Amino acid sequence: MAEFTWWRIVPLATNTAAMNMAIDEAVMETVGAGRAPPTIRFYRWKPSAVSIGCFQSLNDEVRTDVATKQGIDIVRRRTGGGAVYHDYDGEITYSVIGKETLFSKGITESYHEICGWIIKGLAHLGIKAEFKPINDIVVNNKKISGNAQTRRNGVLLQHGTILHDLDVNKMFSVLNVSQEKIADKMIQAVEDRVTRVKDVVPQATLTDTYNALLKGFTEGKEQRFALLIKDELARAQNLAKKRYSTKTWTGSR
Amino acid sequence: MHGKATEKIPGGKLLRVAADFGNTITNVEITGDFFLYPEDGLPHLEASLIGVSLPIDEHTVTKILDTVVKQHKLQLLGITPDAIAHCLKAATEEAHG
Repeated sequence: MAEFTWWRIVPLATNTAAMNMAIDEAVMETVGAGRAPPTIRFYRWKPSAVSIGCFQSLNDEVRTDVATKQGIDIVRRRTGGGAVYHDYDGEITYSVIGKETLFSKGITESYHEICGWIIKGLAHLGIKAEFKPINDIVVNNKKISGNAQTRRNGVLLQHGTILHDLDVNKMFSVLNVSQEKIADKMIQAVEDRVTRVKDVVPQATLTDTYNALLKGFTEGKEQRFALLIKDELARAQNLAKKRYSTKTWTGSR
Repeated sequence: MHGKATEKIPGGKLLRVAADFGNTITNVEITGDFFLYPEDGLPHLEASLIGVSLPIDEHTVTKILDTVVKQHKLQLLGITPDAIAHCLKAATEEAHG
């Protein structure tokens, strides 16, 4: 079978949490079967959502009662890593899906490689960012992007988030930090550890951040803008229904 | 008895180990924000600890986990077998009813 020599870029789209994770899995399958080219997709979450790592305990990490009350979705990822609050207006998420052979063999090296595209993108906004192993990107030692990777059946998936703007209070209301830690002191500590595009470039819009990332991810690649194929969408809808939106999956740990 | 312990690995990730036990470990759950490849390896690590007798000897537990890691060609990122052993011991010492 001839290998694809170009990347498919699926432009910024908005989906539910379950659908976002289901699309990643559906695309891993088509890429693995040689039916789709290596793919980069950008997306947002509506409603805003919390994603938890595949090894995390739901109840240890998320205040599910608050999430329900605020209409915040919860989804368990198939990748490891930590709980992330995906605010609809606050961040851009990406996924890179391709055959493992396209990337560095070592896990840390391949994190570094893909995170390099984010770093290039942020540079287009005038932001000097660097890779911090295992899976973070920092600006002045403050985290601006978290990333998670899995490899299955010869296919690598890395997805991650780039913070554009973030309401720390809202994040804390839904992530399971004990009440006493939500005191101002703790929020201050997080403000010291986390940064956003808007902290560095206050006038940047979400579109500016997206365009900069798009450049960083695509520079030097032969690429075409394309949507998901029909099969991928159908498969994703099925996976969203049967796995990612079920309590069995979300509460499995 | 049931116990649970949490540990932040310096330069690594957060690890939580929950255990049920009497004279031996009867159930273990390892959770946290670490990475493990392939992901399906976690149940193997957990299952390998069932039957380990108390008090926990960290060295023995580490050796058991090392064997599973080798056998299933697992790669751990952000946690280590000795951290799991240490956390398991702490869980059994934090025990309650």
